[in-house]
Amino acid sequence: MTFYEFIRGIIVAILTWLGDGVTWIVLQINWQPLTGFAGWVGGIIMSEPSINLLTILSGIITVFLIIFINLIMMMWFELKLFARFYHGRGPTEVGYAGLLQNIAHGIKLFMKELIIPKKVDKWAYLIAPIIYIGTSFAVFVAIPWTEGFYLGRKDLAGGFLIVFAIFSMAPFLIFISGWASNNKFSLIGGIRSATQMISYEIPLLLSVVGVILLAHSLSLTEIVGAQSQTLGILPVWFLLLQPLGALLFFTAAVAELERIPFDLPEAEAELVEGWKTEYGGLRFGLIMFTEWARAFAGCSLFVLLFLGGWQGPLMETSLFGMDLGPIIGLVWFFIKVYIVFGVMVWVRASFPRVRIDQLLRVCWNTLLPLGLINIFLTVMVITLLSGFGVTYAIGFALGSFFLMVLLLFVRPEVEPLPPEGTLTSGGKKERTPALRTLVLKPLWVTMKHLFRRPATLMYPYETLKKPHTTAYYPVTKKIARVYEDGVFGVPDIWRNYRGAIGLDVDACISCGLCGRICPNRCITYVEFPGRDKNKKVPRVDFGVCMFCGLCAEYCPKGCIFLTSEYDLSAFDRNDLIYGPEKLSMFRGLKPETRFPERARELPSWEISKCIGCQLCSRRCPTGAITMIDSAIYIEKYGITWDETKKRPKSLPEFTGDKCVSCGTCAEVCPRRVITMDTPDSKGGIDK
Amino acid sequence: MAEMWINLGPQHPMTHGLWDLRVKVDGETIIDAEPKIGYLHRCHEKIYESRTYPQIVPLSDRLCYGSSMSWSYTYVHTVEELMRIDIPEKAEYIRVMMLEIQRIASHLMWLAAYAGDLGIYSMLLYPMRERELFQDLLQSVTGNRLLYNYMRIGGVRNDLPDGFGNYLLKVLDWFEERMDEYEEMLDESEIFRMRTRGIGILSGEKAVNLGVTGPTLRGSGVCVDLRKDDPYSIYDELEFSICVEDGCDCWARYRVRVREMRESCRILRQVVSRMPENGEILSKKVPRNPPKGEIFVRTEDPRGEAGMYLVSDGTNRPYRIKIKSPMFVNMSALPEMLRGYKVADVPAICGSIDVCMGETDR
Amino acid sequence: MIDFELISFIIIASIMIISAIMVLRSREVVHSAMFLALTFVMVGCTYILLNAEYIALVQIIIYAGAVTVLMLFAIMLTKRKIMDHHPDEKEVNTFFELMASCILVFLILISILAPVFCPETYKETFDRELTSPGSTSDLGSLIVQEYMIPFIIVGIFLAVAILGGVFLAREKEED
Repeated sequence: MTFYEFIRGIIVAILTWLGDGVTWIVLQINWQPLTGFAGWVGGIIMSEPSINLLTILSGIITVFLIIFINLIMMMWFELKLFARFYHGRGPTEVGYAGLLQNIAHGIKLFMKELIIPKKVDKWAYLIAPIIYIGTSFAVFVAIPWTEGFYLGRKDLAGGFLIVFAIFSMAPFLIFISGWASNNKFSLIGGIRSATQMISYEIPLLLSVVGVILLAHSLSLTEIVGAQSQTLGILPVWFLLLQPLGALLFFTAAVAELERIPFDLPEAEAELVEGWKTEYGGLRFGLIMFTEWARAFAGCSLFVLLFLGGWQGPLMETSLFGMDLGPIIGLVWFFIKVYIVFGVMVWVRASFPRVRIDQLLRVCWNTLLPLGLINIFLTVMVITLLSGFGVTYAIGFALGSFFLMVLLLFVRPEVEPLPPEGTLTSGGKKERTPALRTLVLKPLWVTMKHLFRRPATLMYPYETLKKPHTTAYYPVTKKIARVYEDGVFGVPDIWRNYRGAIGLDVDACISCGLCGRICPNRCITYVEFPGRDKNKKVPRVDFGVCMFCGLCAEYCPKGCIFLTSEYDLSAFDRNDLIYGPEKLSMFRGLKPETRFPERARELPSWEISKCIGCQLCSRRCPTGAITMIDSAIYIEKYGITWDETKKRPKSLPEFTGDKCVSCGTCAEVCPRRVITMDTPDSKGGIDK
Repeated sequence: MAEMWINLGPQHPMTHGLWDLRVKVDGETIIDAEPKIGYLHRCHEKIYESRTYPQIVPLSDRLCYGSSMSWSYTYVHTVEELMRIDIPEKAEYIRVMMLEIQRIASHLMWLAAYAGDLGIYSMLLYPMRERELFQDLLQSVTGNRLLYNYMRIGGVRNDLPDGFGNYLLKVLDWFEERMDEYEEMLDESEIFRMRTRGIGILSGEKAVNLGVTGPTLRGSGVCVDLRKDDPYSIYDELEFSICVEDGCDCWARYRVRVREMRESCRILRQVVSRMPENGEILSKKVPRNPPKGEIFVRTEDPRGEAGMYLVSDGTNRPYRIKIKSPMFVNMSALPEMLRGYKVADVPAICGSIDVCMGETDR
Repeated sequence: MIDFELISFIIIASIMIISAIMVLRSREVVHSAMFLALTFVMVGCTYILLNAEYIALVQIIIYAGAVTVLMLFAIMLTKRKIMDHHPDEKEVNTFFELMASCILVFLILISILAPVFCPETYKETFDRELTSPGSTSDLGSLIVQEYMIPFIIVGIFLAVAILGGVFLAREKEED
C-alpha cells in the first residue's frame, strides 16, 4: 500500500462520513433547490479529480508537518552534538535538555520587526527568498522515505533528476537576493555563494552517475531496491560498491549546503552574514530554517543513494496481518539520516574554513577529475565483471578501495612545498590538498572530545563557591552542586580573592588613607551613628570600584578588607553605593591575607615654615602630633628661629610610635610644611 | 568589479577590539589598506599625571587586558630603575613566574581567537579551557583572573600560597599534553595550512625597517628577544632559547607563538626548582618620591617590545609617562602585509599579529 | 469535463508569453534576467505536458539553473556601479515597437498554423507514426545508438569552449 493510497483512503472515509451527515441534514430540511444544489456540489467533490486533488494536498501538508518537526529535532541534535565536540553542553535551559530552544528562537524572530532597507529593489528583495524557501521544501516531493512513499499515484521516473533540478534553482535566487539588498557585502556574499553552488553541482551529479549505472534507473525507489543484496549478513550498499562516489557526493553535498568547511559566503568573521545580512525578523528565520531543510534533503539523498535507504533488519515483521515493513523502514531511514547528519556536524567541528578560490580550486582540480575517474572505473568494472553477480560486487569494492587508498597518498602538486625553515618564495601559488592530512587528524581529536566530561560550568546551578547571602543572590532554583576546588581541582582559589569590600566600623580610625589611595576615587566618607561626628567612615561606590585592593592593603588597622563575595548586581545604580552599614554586612568574611610589611613613611616638618594653625594635630587620627608651646619647643629642640618672622604660638611635636603613615597631616597642611619622608628617616622636624 | 574601498568597520566580528580597517580592493585583491584606531582611547597617559606612583599600578594593568601582568611589570620596573632600588630575590622569582604564566595565557587567548576566526569553532574553546587553568593559578595567587594589580614598586603584593609550585608543575604537565593535541588539530589540518602558509609575507628587512617587534618579527627570521638581548629581572640566569622561524608568513608566526608557549613551560619549571623557600617579597626601601630625572625601560611583552618613558620632577606624581606599545607599531606594518592578498585573507593576517586594542589606543 | 491539461497549458503559455514580453520591457536589467528565468521554467513545464520529462528536467537544470546565473555574472562584470538606474534612457517609440511586434507575431502565427490551412503539404509529417521517446532510457539509447556522432561532436565543441574559456580567463603572467 503506497502513501498515496493510504491518504486517499483516509480522505475518502472522511468525505463519505461528512457527505452522509450533510445528506441527512439536507433531507431533513427537504427544500428542493437546496437538495439539487447539494447534490451538484456533492457530485463535484466526490468526483475523481477532486479526490485526487484533495489527496495530494493532504499528502503535501502531512509531509510538510513531518519535515517541520523533524527539522526542529535536527537543529537540536546539531547544537547538542556540536557542543559535545568542543567540550560544552549545548542548550539546556529551554524545555527539557533544551528541546524547545529552537521554538524559542522562532518565536523571538517572529516578534521582531520586518525591516526593509530603503533603497532595495523591492520585488527582487521580497520574492527571491520566498522562492528559495519554496524550492528547498519542494524538493521533498521527490524524496521517498520508505517504500511506497509517493505523493502522486505512481513513482516519479526521473526521481533523482527532479531533486537536482529543484536544487539548481538556488544559486540564481541567492544571487538575486544578494544583489537586491543594496549592500556591498551582501553582493559579494551572494556572488561567492552562487559561484560555489554552481561549481559544486557538477561533482554532485558526476558522483551519482556510478550509482545510476549500477541501479539501471533514475528513480530513487529503484535505486534503493537495487541495494537489497546481502553478502552473508553484510548488506551490499552502494557505499561499499562506490566508496569514491560516496566520498565525492558527501564533499559536494557539504559544499552545496554551505556548511563548514565550505561556508565562506556566510562566514561571520568576514562578511557578517553574507547574502542574508539585510534580511531581518521572520524572513531571516525562515531562510535559516531552509538551510536545515536543505541539509535534511542532502542527507536523505546520501542515505537513499549510498546507504540503502530504508532497508535494515526487522523489515519483514507484520502486526495483525498488516505489513509493518514501511513503518519500520521509515524508522531506519530517519536513524540513518541522523547518523549522516552527525557526520556532517563532526566535519563542521573539526575543520577551518576554506577560502573561496581554494574552494573552487578543490572543486575543479580535484573533485571533477575524481568524478570522471569514478565513472570510467564503474563502466569498466561493470562491463568486465558483469554476469558474476555478487562476485562483481566484491571486485568493484576492492577496486574502488584500492583507488581511494592510492589517492590518499598522492597529491597533485602545482608547486612543491618548501621545507620548513626556509623562506617561501613570494608564496602566491597554492597547492591542491591531499586527502590524507585533510581529514584524519582533526577528526580524531574532536572524536576524542566526544567522550570526555564537558568543561562547562552550569552557573548558577553549579558554582565554584557557595555565596554567603542568598538574599543578594538572584537565583530561583536551589544551588545543585558546589565545586570547592574549581572544576579541575585547583587549590583554594578563594583565599586571596578580591571581591566585595567589607568594613569593620569599630576598628576604623578615620585616617582617610583608603579614600586617598583609591585610583578611581570611589570612597567617600559619611557619618556613622554612635561615632564622633568628625570621625567619618568610608562609603564605597561599587559602580566605580575596580576591586584593586589598594584600600585594603594600605589600611593601617586592617578594618577595610576584600572578601570573596562576588555577586553584587543590582537593578538601580544607586543601589551599588554601599554605605558603612551595608559594608559591615561582610564583616564575617574577613580573609587572612597577609600583606608584607611596607616601608613606613613618616612625616617630617620644615618647621621654619610652620604657622601654627594646629590643623595637623587636630586631624591626626591617632594623636601622634601634639601642639606644644613654641617657646618650650624652640628650647627643647634647639631651633634658631628667624626673629623677623612672626613666631607662632604653638608648634607641632611628633611621636613616631603612634603614627600610621596615613598622610593626613601632609594633605591638610596649608603651607606644605610636611612631607612624607623616605623610609630611612625617623620623621620629625627637619632643621 | 571596479576598485572600491571596503570598510571592515568598527562593528565587525572579526576585529578583536575596536578598530576600523579600510581596504582598497580590486575585485578580490587588496591593493592598499589603512587601519584607523583611536576608538578605545582612554587617556591613560594623562590620567597617570594626576595619580601617585602606587595608584598607577592597577591602572597600568588595564593597558592591555590580555596580558596585564606584563604591562604592570613594565611600569613597576620603570619606576624601580629610576629609583634605583634592589628587589629581593624571591620577589624576582615570583615576578618571572607570573610573567611567564601570563605569556602562556595571552598566547592561548590569541590561539583561540585565531582559530575561531578561521572557522574551527572547537579550536576556539580548547585553548580557552586551558587558559582557565592558568587563570585559576593566577586567581589563587593574586585574587583576580584578568586584571591582577599584583606587582608593587619594590616587589609583589603577597606571597604564593602553600604548595603552589607542585600544583604549577601538575598544570604544566597537563598543558603540555594538550599542546600536542592542538598541534595535531592545527598543524596536520591541510585546510589550516592552506589558509596560513604563504599568506601575509613580511620579509625580515621590511619588518626591521617598520619597527615591528615580538613574535611577528621572530616569525620573519630576525632573532631578537629582549629577554636575551637586554635581560631584565633574572632572565639572564635562566636557560631558554629564542623561537625563530624563517617563513615570514602567518604560519611562521603561529609556530613562533606555539613554540614560545613551550619555552615558557620550560622557564617555569626552572623557576619552580630554583625559587628560594623564604625571603622577602617587598623591598622596604622604596622612597615616596623618585629622584628628578627621566628613564626609558623596555620589556618583552607577549606582543613585542613594550616600553615606558618616565619623566619625574621629584614629587610623588609623575610629570609624564609615555607608553610605547608594540601593537601600535605592528599595526602600522599591516598595510605592507595585506598588499596583494585576498579579502578573505584579512582575518588570517590581522589575527596573526595578535591585535589588542587596549595598548594601541591606550 | 474539465480538461486539466488544456487549462494548465493555457496558464503556462500565458505566463511564458507575458514574462517574455517583460524581459524586453522591464527597466532594470536584473529584472529582465528574473523574467527570463521564469520563461525558461515555463518552457520546462511545457515539456512536461508533452511527456518529455527528461528534457524538462535538463531544461530547468541547465537553463534556469546555470544560464541565468551566467547572464547575471556577465551583467555584474560589465556594470560599473551596482543598482544603477538609468533614468535618462529614451523610451522607444511605442508605435514602431507595436508595429514591429505585430508583424513578427503574424509571421510566427502563419508558420505555426500553416498545417491547418494547407493540410496536403504537411501530410507526410503528420502521418508518420509518433513513437514518442519520452522516457529517459529510450532517449539514452537513441543518443548512443542512432545519434552517436552528433553527440561526440557536441562533446568536442563543449570541450573546446571550456578550454577557450579557461585560456581567456587565465591570470596574466606578470612580466
